[in-house]
Parts: sequence; C-alpha cells; structure tokens
Amino acid sequence: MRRAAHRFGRRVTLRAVLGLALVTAFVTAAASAPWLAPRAPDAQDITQRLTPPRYGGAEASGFVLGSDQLGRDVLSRIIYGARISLSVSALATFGAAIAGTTLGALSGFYGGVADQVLMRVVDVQMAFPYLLLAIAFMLVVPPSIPNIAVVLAISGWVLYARIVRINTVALREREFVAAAYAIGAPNGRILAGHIVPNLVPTITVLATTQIAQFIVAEAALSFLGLGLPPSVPSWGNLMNEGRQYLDSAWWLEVFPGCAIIVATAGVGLLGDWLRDIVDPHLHL
Amino acid sequence: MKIRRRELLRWSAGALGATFGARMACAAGVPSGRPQAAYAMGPRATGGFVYAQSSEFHEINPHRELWSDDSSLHFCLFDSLIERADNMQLIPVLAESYQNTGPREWSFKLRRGVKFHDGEPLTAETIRWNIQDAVRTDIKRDVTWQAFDHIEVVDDYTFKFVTKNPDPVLPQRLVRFFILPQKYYSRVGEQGFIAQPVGTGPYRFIERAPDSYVKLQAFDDYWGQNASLRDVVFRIVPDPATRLSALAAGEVDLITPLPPDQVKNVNANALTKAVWVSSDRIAYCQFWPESPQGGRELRDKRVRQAINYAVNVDNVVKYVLNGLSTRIPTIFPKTTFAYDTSLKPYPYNPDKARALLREAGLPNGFSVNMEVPANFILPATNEVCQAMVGDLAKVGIKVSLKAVELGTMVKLRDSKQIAPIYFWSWGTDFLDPEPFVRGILYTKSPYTFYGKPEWDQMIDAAATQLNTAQRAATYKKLQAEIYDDPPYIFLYAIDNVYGIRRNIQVTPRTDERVIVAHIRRT
Amino acid sequence: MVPLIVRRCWGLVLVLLSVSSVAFVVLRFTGDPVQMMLPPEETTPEQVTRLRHLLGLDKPVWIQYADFLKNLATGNLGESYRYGTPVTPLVLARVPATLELAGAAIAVAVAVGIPLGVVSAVRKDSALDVFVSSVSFLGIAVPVFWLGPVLILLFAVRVHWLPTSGTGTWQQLVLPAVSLGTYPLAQLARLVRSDVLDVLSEDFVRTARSKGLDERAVLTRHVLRKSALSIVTLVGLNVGVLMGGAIITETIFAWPGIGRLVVQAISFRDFPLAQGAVVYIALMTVVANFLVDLSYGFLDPRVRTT
Repeated sequence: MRRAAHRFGRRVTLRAVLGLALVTAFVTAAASAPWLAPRAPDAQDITQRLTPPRYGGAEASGFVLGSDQLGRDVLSRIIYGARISLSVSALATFGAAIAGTTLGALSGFYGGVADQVLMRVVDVQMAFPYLLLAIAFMLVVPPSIPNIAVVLAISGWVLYARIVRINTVALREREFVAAAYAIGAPNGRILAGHIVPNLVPTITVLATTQIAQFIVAEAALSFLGLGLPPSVPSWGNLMNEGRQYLDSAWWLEVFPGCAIIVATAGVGLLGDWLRDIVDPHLHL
Repeated sequence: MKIRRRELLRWSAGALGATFGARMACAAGVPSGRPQAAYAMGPRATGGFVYAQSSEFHEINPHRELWSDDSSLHFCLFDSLIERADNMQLIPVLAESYQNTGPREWSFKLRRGVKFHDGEPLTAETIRWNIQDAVRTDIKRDVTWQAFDHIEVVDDYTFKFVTKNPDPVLPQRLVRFFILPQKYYSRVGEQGFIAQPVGTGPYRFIERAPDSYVKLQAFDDYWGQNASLRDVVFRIVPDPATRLSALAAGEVDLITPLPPDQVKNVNANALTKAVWVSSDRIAYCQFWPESPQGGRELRDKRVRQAINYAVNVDNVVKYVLNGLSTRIPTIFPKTTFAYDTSLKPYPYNPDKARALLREAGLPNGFSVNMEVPANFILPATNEVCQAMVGDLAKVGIKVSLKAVELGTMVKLRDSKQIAPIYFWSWGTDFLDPEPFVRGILYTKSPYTFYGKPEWDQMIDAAATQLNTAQRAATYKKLQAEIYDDPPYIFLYAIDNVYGIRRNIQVTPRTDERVIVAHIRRT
Repeated sequence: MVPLIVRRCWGLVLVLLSVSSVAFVVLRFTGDPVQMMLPPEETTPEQVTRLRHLLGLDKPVWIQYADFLKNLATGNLGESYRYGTPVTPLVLARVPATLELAGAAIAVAVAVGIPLGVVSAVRKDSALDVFVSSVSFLGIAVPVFWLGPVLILLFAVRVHWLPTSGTGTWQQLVLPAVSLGTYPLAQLARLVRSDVLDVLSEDFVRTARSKGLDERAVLTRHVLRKSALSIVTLVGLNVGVLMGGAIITETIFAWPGIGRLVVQAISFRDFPLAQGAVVYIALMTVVANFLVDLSYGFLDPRVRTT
C-alpha cells in the first residue's frame, strides 16, 4: 500500500491529469444536463431538420452542433446522452465487477467442485457467441437502461472471475493469510478481511478499462438493433440513427462519435494511470 | 410475389456497419478523368456489369423459394410462363399465348424452339414435370398453387391449367413459376442442381463464391433477344454505406435499395445518379385494441380516427422521406387494381383529433405502447415513428415506442403479444388488392388484428369475381369502409430507389424486381 | 504432455456439449423459424403446419434435443433451413476466409505493434514515444464501425489505391486486416512498451550492455524473449476471438467469414446452421486457448509442470 502511495506521488503525469480532466468534464456534463443543455433532448421541429452547425453570426440557427433528422438539438442530445451512456456503462461495470469478483474469490478461495464448475462455466461463456445471448435476453426483458447494463455485464463478469480467482489462489498462500489461519480466524473473515481488500486495486483497474469498453459496446448493441428504445438519446442510438443521414448531415455522426472516442480515451488514460500505481505488470 | 427477406432482415448485416465514411464517400465523388479502378473480380476489368445487393442468395432452386430474395438471380437463369414487363404489363414468355377458356380452365400455347443451357428442349411435358416437382416439394409457395387443380397436356406445345375455383389472378400467380430442365435435374439431383443450375434464361451460370459473388454470362442460344450485358456479377455487399462507397468508387454499376437521403449526393457525383419509381409496398401502423399490452381505448373508432387526424403524414413524407414515398388514403397502393381515386388521405387536423378524443371520453388523452421493427426493410422507419410519436403527444396521446429485433417482433405478433399499435409493411407483386386484404384485413388471417365479418364477406366475394367491374366496385366499397373505421394509421407507399452509374440504362420496377437482362450500358 | 492433452480433449468435449446445448435451448426460446421462412404476404395456415412438420419442429422439444445429440455424436449437424443444404459444408466454406482475415489482422498487429512498442520504450519520453502512445490510445478507443468506413473513404473512394470491399485479391485484404488489426496492434504496442521498459531496467540487461553487446542483440536476445510469454498470451486470446469471426468488420468489408454466417443464421432463426456455427466457434476458441497454453511450455519450461 505504501509502495502504491509512493508511486501515486511519482506518477502524476500529464496523461493522468488529462484523463482525470476529461472524465470529470463528462461526468459533470452528464450530472448537470438539464442546466447545461440548450434545449430539451426530445423537442422536435421537423421543419428545422438537419440544420448544419452554426457558430454565431448572421446565420446563427441556435443549433450549436446542428439539428438531427427530426429537428432536435444535437448538442443537447449528446449531453443527455452522456447521462445515459455513462450510467449504462458504469452500472454494467459495477454489476460485472460484483458478480465476477464474488464468484472468482469464492471459487479461488474454496477450490474444489464449485471451482471446477465455475471454470467450466467461464469456458462455455467465452466460447459462446455473445450476440445470441444478447438477443435471447432482450427478448424477455424490455430495453431499459438497467437491462442493457445487465446484457453488458453478462459479457463482462468473466474477466473479473478469471483474474480474481488467480489472484485469490495466490493470496491464499501468502504469509498474512497463513497468520490469520494460525490465530483461528474463520474462513469468512479471512476472505472479507484479508483477501478481498487486497483485490480492490486490481478490480479498480479492470473496471476503468471496462467502462471504456462498455461505452463502445452500448453503441454496438444499438447497431445490432438490440439497444435502448429509439427515442432515448444514448450515444449508440445517436450514431445508429445518424447512419442514415451520413451524406446529408455529417454532424449527426461525427459529434457523437467524438464524444465516444474522447470519453473512452479519458477513462482509458485514467485507467492506465491507476494501473501504473497499482500494478504495472497487470496486462488486460 | 415479392417480399424481400434479405431487406427485411438486413439488420443483421446492415445494422452493424458504417458511419460518416459513407457521407464523405458520396460527397467526394470520383474525379471524372481518372481511370477506373479494376480491383473487383475478373469480369469487372473486362467491362462486366456488377450489381451489388445486400445479402447472400439462399435458394438457388426457384421451386423452393418462398421469399423473393433470390429473384434477381432467378430471372437471369430461368424463365417462367408469364412475366411482367418493366411497365408491369403481364406478358407471355415461355408461353406464346394463354387465355381463359372456361370458368376454371386456362389454355396455354408453349413457345417453340426454346432450349435449356445444356441443349435440352422445352415441351409441354417439361411443364407437367415442373408442376409435379413444384407441387410435390413440401416447401412450396401456396400462393401459386393453392388454386391449382391439375394440368392437361394436349400436345407437345399445348396444355391446360385447371383450377379448383374460378381464379381471376391465375396469370399473376404464375409470374415467378420458373421452369427447370427435367432431364438435367433428374440426372444430377437437387444438390447437383443447386451447385450448377441450368435454365432457359438469358444468362447461364459460371461460378459462385459463398457470401461473396455469383458470376453469369449471356446465353448465346437464348430464344429471345440476347441480353445486352455479356458478363454479369452479383456481389453481396451487406453494409449500405459500403455499397454506396463501391458505387462512388466505380466498382459497381447498380445498387439497391438506395436510402432516400442519399439521392442528392449520388446525383451530385459526375458518374452516378439515382432513379426511382413508386412501388406497391406500403407502410402502415396496425391497431390492435385487444393487445395484452393494453390499448382498449382503440376499440372506439373515433379514437382511431383521431390518431389518423393527429399524425402529420404529409410532413413525414416531405421531410423524413425526402419526398420519395406516396401518401395513400388507405392500404391500397396507387398502382393496384381498383384504387379509389376519390378518397383523400386523412388531413392533418390536431383540433379535430382533440375533439374526437373528447367525444370518446378521453379529453386528457391516454397512454399506449407502440412497437417498430429495429432496422426494418423500409427507409427511416425509426424516424417516421418518432415523428408520429411527437405528433401524437401534441393531442395528448402518450406513446411509448420500442424498437424490437425483427425475429422477436415476428414472434410477438404470432404469439399475440404484440403492442396495440405496431409499424409494419406489406407488399406483393400481384398489383391486386387480394393479397393485401386477404393478409391484413381478413379476420381468419393470422396477421389481421382488426376486422369485421362484413369485410370478410366482401373479400371472399371479390376473390372469385371474374367480372372486372363488379370486383372493382366491391373493393371500392371496402376502401370506403376501412377509411371510416380505420384498422390502421394509414401511411404511404414507398418508392423503389436505385443508385446507378450514369452510363447504365435501367427502368426501375414497381414490383421491386431487378431484371438484369433489361439493363443496358450506353 | 499426454495426460494434459487427454484432459484438454475431455474439457473440449464438455465445452462443445454445453455450448451446443445452451445454443439449442436459447435458440428455441427466441423465435419461430417457420414464421421467418414464410413471407406473411403469401402464407396459408396449412403451409405453416406442413413446414413445421417437414423441419421436425412439431415434435416435443426433448425429442428434438435427443435427435440433435444423436446427430452431433456422429458429426452430423443437420441441414440448414434456409439453404436446404447440409450445415457442415456451409460452415467450412467460411473457414478459409475467416482464417485469412484473422491471420492478416494478427500479422498486422504483430508486425507493427511489437516494433512500435520496442521503439517507444527505447526512446522513452521522446516525441516518438508520445506519438506511439497516442496512436495506441486512439487504436483502443476507436470503434471498428468508425474506422472501417473511414479507411474505405480514404483509400478506396478519395484515392483509388485499394478496393472498397470483397474478397479474392490481396488488395481486398488490406483494409479489413488493418481495421481489425488496429485494436490488437494498440494493445500489443502498449504491452511491449511496458515490458521492455521493465526489462531494460534489470541488472542482466545492464550487464549485457556494459559487456559492449550490440543494442539490437540485447533487445532480441534478452528483452523480447522475456516478454514473449505475455505477447503470446495476448496474441493467443486475439486469435481465439478472431477465429470466431469478426461480425462488424466482415459486414463493412463484405468479407465472407463465419461472423456474418452466424449473425444471419441467428436473425433468420436457422437453428441447425446457428448451432453448427456456434459449435465451430467454440471449437476454435478452445483450440486457440490450448495452443497458447502449449506454447507456454515451450517458451518457459517452468510452466510445463502445471
């Protein structure tokens, strides 16, 4: 821990600051969307559709980043979209981390049949086309934010399960765990008090990487027609709808795309920095 | 008939694809002085004609084909007895002539001197075998054969079709009944035939690479006029943006369908242009007052009328669809038989809608679910639905719109779980109302969600009326009735839009077919 | 070695059996192939009944499952509903193109990613290092459904250097391979960079350098050998994934791979074809993982005992 703290001081780099700034900016924008966005995200005016972006001057149209195919303000939709995309990916990451860590830690700690079964499940899941699972799942549940998060988490928990399991097996052999056994601590307390806290840094690093992946994955689900309802301005939906207006209205595609890339890069930079602090050798 | 499953299901592929690349692809255009890139397969380099379409050919054997996905290929390799010219007139093809010789009897004279690609001659016996084969296979198109009773071969070039009941649309039914070579097929078997198909058509099969391309070459001994384009390649390009790029890059000569929004940019390119024609494929929103998801308010016809008044379909067509669709007053497309020109589409009138809702005891509106297939065959489906949701909100109807994966939506529809309002499309190449009303208005049809016994009687009567004037009168009465008691939000018939190289001459067809033998290069 | 292989084969059988069973159940849950095969515009109820009987879908599900297992045991994956031809050749026909694309993408990633990583580590904090790091960042953040169309636009439409799509010539392989290879390329560059930095600071490298060994020899002999294990892991994981098909890349570049086949099969509810493709993908993933594990043994003898 002290070593990590030492690195923290040493490794505050330009990249880290940039990553933190980007993430803070996006989270702030998402949180203050109603005050920040110039218009309501679903206010339509079909006669004003596909207005190009204008930057003040005589031709100022009021649409800073242009308007979409139904005359809605692209900037407002991107800002509200940050809410949706960031919360979907954060929720999904949280769910995947909790599920994967719990299963991985239990199976690594206790071993035995449960461990064997879990590892087989992981094998099967990794060998199974995710698309089929996603279709099956979206068939039985309505396409809401929590449900999309669950679909993404289904694809994500395996990563934690594998890495947490390996780390737990390694930790179990360490001196401090042996010491805890020696003083007669019960299994549950060893797991909760000694093993899991040591896993937290690794999980945090995994999670930052995964949030970024899920932002892109939400967009991919929209592309597959398995995403949120069309009126919800998630970044994935914005890009998916923009596809049909590629030629006539580039801003429908480019601005949400930039939002995805910048947000992903921001989270990624932050994740890299965390990894350098926690464990430079962790490869994901 | 024609439903393009490849389009209907293109979500799989098209949905995945691309983004702003294609926009610039179109805007960029191709410098006109530049020599054309000759990357594609061999025939492209030698001036072959390349047609990019969205998905793989599945049923090479036309007798197994249920949807019409593969018809562009079938029309090259095979001929049928009767086809439609580009102007939709029915014309005899392998039949030299045909006529209705009795209430249930149609007499055909077969064209003489027709040979299959392997030299096998065509006789009435071949037709008899084809019918036996087509009727024998369990995967067959009932719409062709449900009225058919038996065939009588009179001599080598004369035969008679006998139907079970008087059937005014028998010629339409035969439009996609392609004739296969009896001896060759019997010799190589079905799998052999699929691997190396043989027909009487204007093109013969050269080779095929799965999910990639099919190559054809003009058949020199064709009975009719030889095709103008000698080498033809069908390329499978699933992503619409990539198809556009391929057109702009000069790799392909024809792409279908072209989204309405692309027309301006394709036309802005010095080497490409867009052509279109109005089609017989309609869009509509089905009402289902008995849905398990709610919608009881829709039992009152005033509520359904109010919705039709509240939705600004003209604006949707003008703005969202770039004007490339035709507003229709009911579900009868303008191209169809007995279209009633005196009916005018519901005008946009939100005040009238509010008044009707008040009359129906819903002064504050109501909430209702609506479903639309994600990535549907029709252009801009999601946008159209969102625009309608916005219009309905203005009269107090709060619509919760869901986009549903197509296969899932089909399951919801067939298991009677679908929403009280859902967006769908219907289209047939009969150019006759019978398949429309039989499918989505006849109460015994599994795809009908609102109908009446009186309407059923009218549909049954019209189906067997050989007197054209009587039939037309029945259908006009039906149109007036459904206009008054709307089972749907009446929307529009889409235009078929093609993107082509400017040196290509093609007549876009109302029935959504692409018949390569009719295309020429200038 | 032999017990390991036996154990792995048993594992493989288990995975294949579970994967195909899950696919069997999940598919039957998602929709009705008969309704997908018949155009509603021209379908009669008799046709539905007839087709359902023909496809054996009127039997109880557990009998269908028993039939499926029986056929699977003999290697028979059934006949595709849509194509009307056996599934195995349909799947196998997509394998060469899938492997070609996967191989090319990995080749791009390895050929560019490793040198980039090494160079940026050796010239740490130089302008080049910053550039490489930024590129690898973008490579990870840019979704392939953006990158592919942009490449098509630039290289096929703006300048006619390469074709937009399709397969058959080496030119047609370039853009999809680059699009697909960018993500593993960026991953590799970052991984190699951090590995090399670690190794360069270790004593034996300093010794080697002080002995006056050529810099290049130091890098290849000591440094890359040290990080070979993590490179192989990363490449192996990617090979496993890519051999299962790359749905988005295949779609954008009209590449006839297994990814498109499986998406089409699922969206049409072509049960036998989807099951067959799923079995193939599972097989590829498991085999790739096994090969990675085997190569550990060769790269690092200490691992062989596990």
